[in-house]
Amino acid sequence: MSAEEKTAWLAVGLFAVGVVAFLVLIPFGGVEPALAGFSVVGFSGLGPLLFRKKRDSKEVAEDERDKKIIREATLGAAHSCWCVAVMACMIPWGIHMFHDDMTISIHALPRVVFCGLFTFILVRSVTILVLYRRGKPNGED
Amino acid sequence: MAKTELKNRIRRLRFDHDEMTQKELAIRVGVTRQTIIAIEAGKYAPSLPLAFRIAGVFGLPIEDVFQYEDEEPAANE
Repeated sequence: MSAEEKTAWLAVGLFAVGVVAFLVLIPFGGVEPALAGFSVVGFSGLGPLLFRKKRDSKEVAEDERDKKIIREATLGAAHSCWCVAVMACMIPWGIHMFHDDMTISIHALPRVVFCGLFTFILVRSVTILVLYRRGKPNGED
Repeated sequence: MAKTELKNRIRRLRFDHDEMTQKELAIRVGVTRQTIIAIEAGKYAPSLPLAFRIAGVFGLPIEDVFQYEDEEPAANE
């Protein structure tokens, strides 16, 4: 398993932990404070440090296939992130466009940013796992 | 659009060359073992430089290692 694949598993696992933490925290303070449960996803940034290739290894750490997978996953994640950001801005406007006195809270803005960030991390990680899995029929020698 | 497939004889050639392992071949051509597995299974089409490096390990021309197959014939023939 490549370092990138392990990092993707870590991110998906942490996202699952974040969802569980969010659901567990809801009864204690409502939905707003429970969103803090997703902060564990930030630890996925430690992946590249935790799964570094050993220096004395003769095998290369990353080759053309890895780079292609990472490029495709990052592109897909960027597109998804863009879609989420557009929807987060346009849907509330579409719903309330006929109400002249409507305002939105300033606190909605960081939520749009985090929503886009989480979408990026999740889509990129899942795409990496799927693309690696496609080229691995049984892994025997 | 015609379906195409890149077939190869890498597995056969490895066994013909003193049962070379996937790891050995990977080290010699400078890729990971997972990439060799994917190429052998026909799930990843290597770049031209990599295909030439693999053929070079076995001392064969590239067309003896990789075969390009068009599943549908061209329409205007």
